[in-house]
Amino acid sequence: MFLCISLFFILCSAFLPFFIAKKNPLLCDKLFAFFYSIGALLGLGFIAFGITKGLHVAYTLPFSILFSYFSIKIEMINLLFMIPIYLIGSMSAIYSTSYWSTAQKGLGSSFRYRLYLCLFTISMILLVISDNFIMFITFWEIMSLLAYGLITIDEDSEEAQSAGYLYFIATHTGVIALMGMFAIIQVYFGFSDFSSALGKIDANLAIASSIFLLGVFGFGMKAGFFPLYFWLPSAHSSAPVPISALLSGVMIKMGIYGILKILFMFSNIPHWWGWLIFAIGILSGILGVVYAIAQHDIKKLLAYHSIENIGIIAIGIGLAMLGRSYHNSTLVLFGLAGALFHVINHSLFKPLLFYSAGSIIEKYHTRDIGHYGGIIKVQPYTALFFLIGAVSISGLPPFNGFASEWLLYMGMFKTLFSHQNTLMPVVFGILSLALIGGLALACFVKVFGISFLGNPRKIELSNVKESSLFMLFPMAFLSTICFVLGVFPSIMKDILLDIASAFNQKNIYVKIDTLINLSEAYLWFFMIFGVVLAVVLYQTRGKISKNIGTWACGFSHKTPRAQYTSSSLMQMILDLFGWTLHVKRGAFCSKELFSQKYHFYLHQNDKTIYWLAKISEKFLLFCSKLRTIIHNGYMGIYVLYIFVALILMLLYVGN
Amino acid sequence: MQDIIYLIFGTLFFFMLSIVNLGIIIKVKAFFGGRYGVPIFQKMYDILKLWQKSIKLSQTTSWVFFAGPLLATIVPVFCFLFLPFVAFPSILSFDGDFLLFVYMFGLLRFFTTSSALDTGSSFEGMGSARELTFSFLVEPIMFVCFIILAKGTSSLSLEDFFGYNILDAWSDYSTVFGIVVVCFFVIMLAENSRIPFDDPATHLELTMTHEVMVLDHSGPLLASILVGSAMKLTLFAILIVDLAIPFKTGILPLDTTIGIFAVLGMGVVVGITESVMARLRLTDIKKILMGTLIISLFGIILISR
Repeated sequence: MFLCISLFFILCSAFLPFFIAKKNPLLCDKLFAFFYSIGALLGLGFIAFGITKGLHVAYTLPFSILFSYFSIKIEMINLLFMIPIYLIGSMSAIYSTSYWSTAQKGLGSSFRYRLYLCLFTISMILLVISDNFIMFITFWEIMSLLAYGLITIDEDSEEAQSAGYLYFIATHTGVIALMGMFAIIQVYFGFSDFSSALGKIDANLAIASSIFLLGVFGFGMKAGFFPLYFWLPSAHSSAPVPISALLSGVMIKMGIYGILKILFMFSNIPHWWGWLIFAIGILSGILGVVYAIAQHDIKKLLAYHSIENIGIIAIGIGLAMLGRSYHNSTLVLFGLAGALFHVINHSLFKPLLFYSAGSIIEKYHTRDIGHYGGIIKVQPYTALFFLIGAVSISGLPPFNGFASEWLLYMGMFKTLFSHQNTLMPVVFGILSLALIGGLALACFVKVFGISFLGNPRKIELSNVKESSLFMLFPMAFLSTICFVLGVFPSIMKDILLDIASAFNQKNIYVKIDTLINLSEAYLWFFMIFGVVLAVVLYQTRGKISKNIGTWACGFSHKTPRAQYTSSSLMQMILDLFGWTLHVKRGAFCSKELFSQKYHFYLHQNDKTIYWLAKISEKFLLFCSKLRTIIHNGYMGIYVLYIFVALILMLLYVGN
Repeated sequence: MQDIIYLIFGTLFFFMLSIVNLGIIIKVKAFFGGRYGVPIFQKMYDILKLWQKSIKLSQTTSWVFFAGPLLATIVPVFCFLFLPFVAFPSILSFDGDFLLFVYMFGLLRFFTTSSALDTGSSFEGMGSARELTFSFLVEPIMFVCFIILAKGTSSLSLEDFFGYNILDAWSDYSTVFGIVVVCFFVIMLAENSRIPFDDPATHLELTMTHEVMVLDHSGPLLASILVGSAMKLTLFAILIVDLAIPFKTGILPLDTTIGIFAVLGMGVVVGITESVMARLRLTDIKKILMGTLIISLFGIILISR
């Protein structure tokens, strides 16, 4: 009931305010954000109620026009995945008040944008609560189409249109796989909804593996597993910022939700499934962060970090699956808890980063990090929030990214004690998580250091003011949650335990109470921090003078161009990973005796997408060559085709 | 309350030990160079002098410039809480605290490199790039060492790693633990930018790693960085001593004395290493670190036989 009202409010918010849009466009935007937030608050209230009460709802609504029925099921896992949808949805709605304002973008564009935004969130909520396959796939399709509409909302941008096209192809390839998967389940096993199939399918059958593989393909396409992520960087970078936040923070998580949902259906899990997901996780994690380091486009960089974080989540899911197949309930608990906690965390800090990136993109009209510099002086709050997001996503204490990675580490370290030596390859998970952490840290030092600190490189800082409150509020809110969840991670422990026991299909007697220890340790940290800060501030008060330039080691002709750039800062690391990158470099200089100008370029791009493009190009070329052989322009040959076809048909009829 | 008193005295002791440790390294190097050398407490005088000075800031800098030096002191003190000192148990201990130990240094690195970039100087950017590259290579080695310790001692906290069953673990897996000691030694040299990875005494900006990042810091901020780096060195020395001296006599004063002398002994070893080796080329540092990683991976194979 609550849920219906909340969805109704969100729907209303798309229509109602536009009655006054002609008179007062700003009020219209504000009303939209207000209605939307009320709807989201109601929804979040419902979720909070559901989590504390241990809600378990199952309804079946008649829906005879299209399909026979629409069954709803709400359990812990559904509630958990609903949190980001409502939260980020409302934050994006508030953010859009100034980012995609009616006054600026025109009534038509603004109306379409807001309508799509509302329907997009509603379809995701319905997707998460729907239980029967046909409804699930319907809402999945609606969600994907609306995402296409939102990515291509900017009609003038050619980049957005082509990115949307690529997304469209990718998502439909995925949907075909999903339809096949659901058809197999329905035909071979006779189940038509998730709850009746729960734990009923025997995974040792040959057909079960094809269900699993189709599911991983279809859902992995949306989630952005390696190498199915090829649509993701361009789509996330060319969509409007609030939409990128929703896509990256919420929509790709639906892929994770889908994979978990199909895993719930199996009574047992073969060993190789877990190792497969684990390996995909490691590959996506490491390659995602390496490609992110090579990027200079701030939004594309954040999009690649989504792939990295999906990789970390996949590592966790892989661990949980291994735990199920090796009957190791500790691994199930820590793996799944870490993965789900990371789902929530990523849906908090990634939108936060996108919002703060949007706040600077809007001011300087470029996404190239190499142009920025010194933004912290004119936009101090944006810089602070970006810093919080950066520290969280690098998995550093005391923020939330660390808590979820800590759970994953603990799960993997605990398997070391079990005497199952077959689980030893799990140490590669520890190593790759350490590697991912180190690389993500380097990457965010680069983004933060190059764009916010130092001197401006190619932008003009004078006349720039801090962004409006509508932009700052979502950032501030999300940073606060990041911090609170980081310091008190044990808030999450009950719901995580609940879902993990459901996944294990028998009770888990291990606890994750150790999360509370982190809070205790942080208490000490803040105490020491406070003391040292107070002492240093006391000692330095009145003694600070800020009137000199940076020491350039005796060189007096300082220029901002002498600063370290984003490529030079990371080149040492990228040299180690040169084999994963498609590198183009070159230099021009004039041929005169005393060369005055020297121009150097270095482009390092994703080799995976490069190879995928090359393979598909070769394939298309091959197909068209085949076509020219068949379709060769000789009338006689065509008559022969007709003749042969007729004979074949006659033979068929004759039999 | 008792914990806080324990913390205060522990920190004071730790601070003095770090200063003396650094002094000993300088003395040993002076001895090898045939000089008399500065007094052992010279670092202390330097720090006190800097502490009273005023701060000159570049116009380019922002508040991030303060974060690096502050965390440089805070993080080693905080990490000291987790580490037992020979017979003294650690102040704070729980399952998985070693992850916090490692990631706190990550936090420190984030802010030292950021505050270096805050000056907009090309030299400090160079330092950041090097620091980020080397330490992302060091981190996996650290994790491999902890994997070996966890597997060998069947425990998950720093206190238990070096607790009652480390003696048994040494007798079972002496080769592997020997490898871990060597790896920890390499980590100590690399993380604290000692020779052969970096020379803290040269003042040629183009060749430095860590020192070049603090060119613009002055006064109490520089003092904080100096204190922090001395403490960090001693923290790793304590880590090695805890591991390398697994036996305890059971008499607290005797154990503590042995521990202090062992930590100072680490200072002597570092001093000797610095005196007999030259600084490596930058490109070779990556090779050395990756070689160490491979050696430590052999440790995993040996222990999981």
